[in-house]
Order: sequence, then structure tokens, then C-alpha cells
Amino acid sequence: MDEITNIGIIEYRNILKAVSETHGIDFSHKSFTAFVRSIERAMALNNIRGTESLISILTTNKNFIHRFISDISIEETEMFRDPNLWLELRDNIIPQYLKKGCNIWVPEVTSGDELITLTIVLKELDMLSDVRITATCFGRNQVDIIKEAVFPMKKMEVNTANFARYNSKLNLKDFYIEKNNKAYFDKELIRNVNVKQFEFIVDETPQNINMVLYRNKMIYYNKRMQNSILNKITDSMITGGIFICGVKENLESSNNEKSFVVINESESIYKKIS
Amino acid sequence: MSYKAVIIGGSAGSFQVITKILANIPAGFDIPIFLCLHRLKHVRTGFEEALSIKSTLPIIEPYDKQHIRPGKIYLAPANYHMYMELGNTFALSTEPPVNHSRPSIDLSFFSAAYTYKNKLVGIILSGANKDGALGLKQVKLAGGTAIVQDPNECQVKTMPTAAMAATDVDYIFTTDQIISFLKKI
Repeated sequence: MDEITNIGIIEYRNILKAVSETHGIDFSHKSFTAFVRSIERAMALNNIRGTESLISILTTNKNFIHRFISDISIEETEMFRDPNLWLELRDNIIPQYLKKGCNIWVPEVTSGDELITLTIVLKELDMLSDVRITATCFGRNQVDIIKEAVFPMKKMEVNTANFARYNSKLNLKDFYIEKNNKAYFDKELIRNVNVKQFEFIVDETPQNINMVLYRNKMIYYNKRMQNSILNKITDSMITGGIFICGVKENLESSNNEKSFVVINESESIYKKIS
Repeated sequence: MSYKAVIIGGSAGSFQVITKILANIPAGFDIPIFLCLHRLKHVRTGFEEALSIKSTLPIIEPYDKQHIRPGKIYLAPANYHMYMELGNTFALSTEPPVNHSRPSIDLSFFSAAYTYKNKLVGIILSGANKDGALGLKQVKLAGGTAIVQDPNECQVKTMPTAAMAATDVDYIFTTDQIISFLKKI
């Protein structure tokens, strides 16, 4: 890595303005530092030098925006991240709170690591065919990425180590085939998952949701947008539903704090009470 | 010079140095100290507690968007990058590791340099890779004060040596000299 965060605030605003005016997409609610880095990563991936070139491509090449959205998205880090959370979900939360016919929503899926993890946990509980999972993503290209369920083999080392800490009777290797340095996961896991494009700002949220798995996604928004997303998520959930965010995210000081009680503080698991 | 923040990066061989520094920070220290230390990413608990034992000031692993307060020590949480943003808040991120590290010292230093500019002290301690070298360079470019632990005192000198190669540091200090410096600011 030679350069970090070279885009200044004025260039940043110019990029946001270009995207907004040309494509009607508002990125002004993004968390600044991480989003600057995402833009820089997208520029490097596409060999774009300088923000003026980026703005020129964004405003003249209509199709580039889909690629840009895909390239700025931040991959989920690994499967079974925070193994204790998945243990808690498998051994306590899901058996206690999710029944046949329940609805689970996984918003803003990027690479699909969390979604695959969830399906393996449900499979272990023999509940995968009993629940309806909706996975939403921001970009058009991501729908295909999620449905492919292919992951680089270099990620499997940490995934396997996490899985071992999750203390399962199953073997992670039984869920994928290694080919060309990639792990092809069993598509049966996501066969019944409804994967669709979704934008918090404009789209209608799913309804009657029993569990929302939304980890380490709010961190990429400013506080105001976090509140507005949490309003929508709260509205989508049934009373008694479960909300899970990242271990370093919380509902404290959000507008929705009073709608939830903490049921597991260290794993950031909440229950909706009103 | 009135500083607004101190940021310290360390890796292999830095734990005892950090512990000694934290044990000697004056109780009335009125600016925040950010710690970005390489740590096992799957071990979330224990580190904050271990550092707290001798620390004179409270140590906090911040949540995303938590406010930065003076006189507190903030430790980058396991498996997250930690940014200090304008508006005095933290922002966390799960972007890919940088220099094989999440938290990455370079990324934390870079955001602190952007936010605090010439009001920042950056300190690189003992460590076994070059993470932090570009970060300390950025602290210096932004007008801040760049310090490295004296490589002769380091258990592993790669990190301060890499920082010295990347930028013209202001001071090469032993642990005791770092403590004296911090007591005077």
C-alpha cells in the first residue's frame, strides 16, 4: 500500500455531486474515512488516476456506475465471524424465538459470508427449509455474486478456524468444493433465499420480520442515516423479533433504543418490545 | 504547542512498553490517547482489561460513532479498523486488512493526522512489520510530531526502523523519554 486517503474534502464532494446528479444516488450519508477509502479502492481496481478522471467516467459512461457500486462495496470479512454469536444463535436464540414459517431479513449483503453462515447454522438446526430468508443488496451486480456463492480459497483458512470455535458436529468442508483456488459453496444452502436489490432510502421494507441480521453495515453510515435505517428496520419487525448488529455497533443513543431490550450485550443481540 | 491528541502504534514487544507508559500518564492528562496495537483478531476480550490494570486513566474500546472525550485512552477493537473523524467521533470499519493487520496502525494514524493535523503526537513502538511507517509519515506531513521508540531498546525493531526510513522523525526516544515527553505536553 503506497497511498492512503489522498482525496480531499472538496474532491470528495465533487464525486458525490456527480453521482447524485448523473445517477440520482445519494452517498452523502456515508461515513467519511471508510467511504474515501472505498472510492480510492474502486479507482485503483479500474486504473483510474485522479478524481477528475473518475468524475468524467461516472458522468459519461452510463454503465460504469454498476461496476463502481460493486467496487466500493465492502466485503464481509469472513464466515462465522465472532463464533460465540453463532453459537448463541444456534443454541439459544433461534430455537427460542424462530418457529416454522418465520421471516429473516439480511440487509445489505455484499460478499455473502454472513448469509452463508446463517444458512449453515439453520441447516445444523434442521430449520433451513422452515424459514423464509430475504437477502437484500445495494448493487445490481451483487445479486449475482450472492447467488453464485463462490469465495476465494484464501478466506477459507480463517473461515475454518472460526468454524472450529463454533463447535459444530458438522464439517465445513462438506459445504463446498474447492476448484481453481475458489470455494464453491453448495447452492442448496441459498436455494430458498430471496435475493433482491434494495435501497433503504427509496424502497419499501419487507414486513413481518422475525429476525434481522445486520452486522457491521451501519458503521459505514453517518449517525443520521443510521437512525433512519434503524427506523425502517424497526418498522419491518414484529414485536418480539430479534435484531442483531455488529459487536461494536449498538442501539445506544439511537432513536430506536426504547423499542428494544438487550438480550445479549456482548454479541449485540436485541429483542423488539414495541 | 498545544496538542489535541496522542496516537500510539505497537506490535510485537510493545505490550510492556505500553503498560509502563499508561502507568505513568499524569491523572489530569486532558487529551485523548489512541492505541492501535496489533492483536489476535478472534480474541475480543482480555486485552483492554490487561492494559487497564496499571493504567492511570480509563481504557475504552470504542463503539462506532462514540464520542471522543479528553483524558480517556481508546484501544482499537479486535478485527476492526479504528478511525478518528472530524466532529470528535470514532468510526469503525471492517475493510480488508492493511499490512496483514486489522486494526491497521497506518489507517488509524492516517485518519488521526487528517483530523488533528499539527495538534497530534504520533508514536511508533516495537513491532515486527512495517505497519505504521506510512501512518507516521502522514502525521509528520500534516504538521504533527513524529516519535519512534529507540530501536536499540525495542524487543523487535522492524516497526520503528521502517518508520524512520519512511519519514524524518522528530524524536527517537526510550520508554522513559516518551513518558517524560507526554508528561510535559
